[in-house]
Amino acid sequence: MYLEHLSLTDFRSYAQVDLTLSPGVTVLVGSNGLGKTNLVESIGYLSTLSSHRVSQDGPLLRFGTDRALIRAQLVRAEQKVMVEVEINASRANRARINRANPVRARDILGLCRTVLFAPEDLALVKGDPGNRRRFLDDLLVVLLPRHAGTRSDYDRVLKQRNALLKSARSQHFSRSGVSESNLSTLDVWDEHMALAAAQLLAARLELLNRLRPHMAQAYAQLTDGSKVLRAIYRSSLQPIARHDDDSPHNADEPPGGGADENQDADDFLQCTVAELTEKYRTELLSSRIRELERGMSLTGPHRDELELFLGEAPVRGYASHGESWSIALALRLASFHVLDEDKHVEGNQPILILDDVFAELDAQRRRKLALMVASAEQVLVTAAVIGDIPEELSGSTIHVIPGGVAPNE
Amino acid sequence: MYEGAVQELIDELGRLPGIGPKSAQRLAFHILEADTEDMQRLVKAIVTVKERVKFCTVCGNVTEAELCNICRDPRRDPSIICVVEESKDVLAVERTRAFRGRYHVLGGAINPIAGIGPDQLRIRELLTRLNDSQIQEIIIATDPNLEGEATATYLSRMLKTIGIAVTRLASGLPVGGDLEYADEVTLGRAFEGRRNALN
Repeated sequence: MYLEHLSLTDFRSYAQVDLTLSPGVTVLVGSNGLGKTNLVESIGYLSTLSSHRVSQDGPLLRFGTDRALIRAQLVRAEQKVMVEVEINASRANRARINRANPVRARDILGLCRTVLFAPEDLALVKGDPGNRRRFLDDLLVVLLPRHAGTRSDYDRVLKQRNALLKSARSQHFSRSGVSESNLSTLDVWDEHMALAAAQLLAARLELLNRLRPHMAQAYAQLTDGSKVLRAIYRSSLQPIARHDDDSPHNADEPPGGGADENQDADDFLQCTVAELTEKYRTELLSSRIRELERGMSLTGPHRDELELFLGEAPVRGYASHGESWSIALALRLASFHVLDEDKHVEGNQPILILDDVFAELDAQRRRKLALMVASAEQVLVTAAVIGDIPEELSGSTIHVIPGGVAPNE
Repeated sequence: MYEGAVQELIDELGRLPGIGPKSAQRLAFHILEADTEDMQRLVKAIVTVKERVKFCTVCGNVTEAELCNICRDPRRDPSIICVVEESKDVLAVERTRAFRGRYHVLGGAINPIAGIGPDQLRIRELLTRLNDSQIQEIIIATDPNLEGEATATYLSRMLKTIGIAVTRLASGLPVGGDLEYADEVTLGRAFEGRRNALN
């Protein structure tokens, strides 16, 4: 698919801006602070209903206004779709498809597919495990929207179960012990937790299986190919992770170099959801005492880690800045290919957005990246200096000027 | 901030569910401008409801007597009990006119975040009712959300040992709707709960 027209009203720095785009590569050029990223952020928002920069919608509204509008004309396999999202400061956001009556904002998920790479993605490599879990879960929802339910179910079960464990914790340390009703309620939440956890884990593993070849390939193509990018999923169902949980201070840290680095949750890939549910049931039962002691859930996908390796060395702590940058980029490119492979719907290829990526890469990697993305249906690139864009990436250029874009020459 | 009584009224109204500060203010000024007679009727209605309305000692539904209409009605089938979360759910099931048994109102659902566990619900009262050998089936009609499902799981685990039929309301597609407009979760549930079309 590609974006043909984008119109923003009171979004970020723009009172009103209109942008006409064509398939192929488009470079948005302008000095710092003019709003290049704001433009691509709005496109990303259309596809995920969240910004890649801020977790709240507030900053997306132009300062002093209480309503922002993103309107996009998409073309997917010859068919034109108009998608609008209204972001409201004090009411629920609304969306419209093809100028029809307003629908819930989440009904437009899946219509506009994008893969956005931005400098913030460095956190995928250097940040804590939560960033990588979110990466998997976000992609999962774009690929299979029904997993939005899987994810929110799990979050809700986790919150309820944690609340219960927290209130039972004080009883656990008292002489009378945990009350009978709290224990039997915990049984119920264990059951629902096991079900939700198994579904989320199965979905993540399946997705990772699809991502892996693309990840390795993208990294190899970006670099000279001397180091292989690998990903290992560590589940809290595995004994190794449980051992790690015993030390409260680094409970979220993956085991250092001492652990068996090849232990992977891949075995679970063969399991059905029912089998995984059973595993979680057993695990929850055996970790109950420790969970009551800590007053929180210690087993489940919310404690899992997607660990990245370059060759044999873990990426965290070992990879250089440039390598980290390339790894983050490889993860996004792999997402792009996984979504592209998913050919349920004609014209499903996501729009690839590269925000400020070239400034950080050396000349050779710039050229390689340019060749890799040149075949995509639509690529939007932002850059402060046109000189950063390699010659191989030929396409149209849009100059971003204060408050809008320069008219096409 | 307004002076004394007006602000007090706004604060009180603002505590009601679904009423924000702006609506509270609007209601307060409406009350201020309205006929004294009308407002006295409203006050009386509120006082009466608090004085007269109680909860049925058997099922927990709202009533003005010791027993509610449904528990008093001899035509209702005493062998089936439909377990719901709130009194308003009784009304919803009644509107279907499809159910002729009796009810049991739990007074909520298991919700640890809100501090509601089995002890805060009328579950013990339900068990007491089950001592009556007339009862043959329990229909669990809690909300199809996480807390409602958890409550249903809790009840079915507890009732398993008693040896009466326990059923749970089906979840699936709304009647008269379009398949294409159903959300993924509902449609997924409908697939899981599909039934044999041959009989």
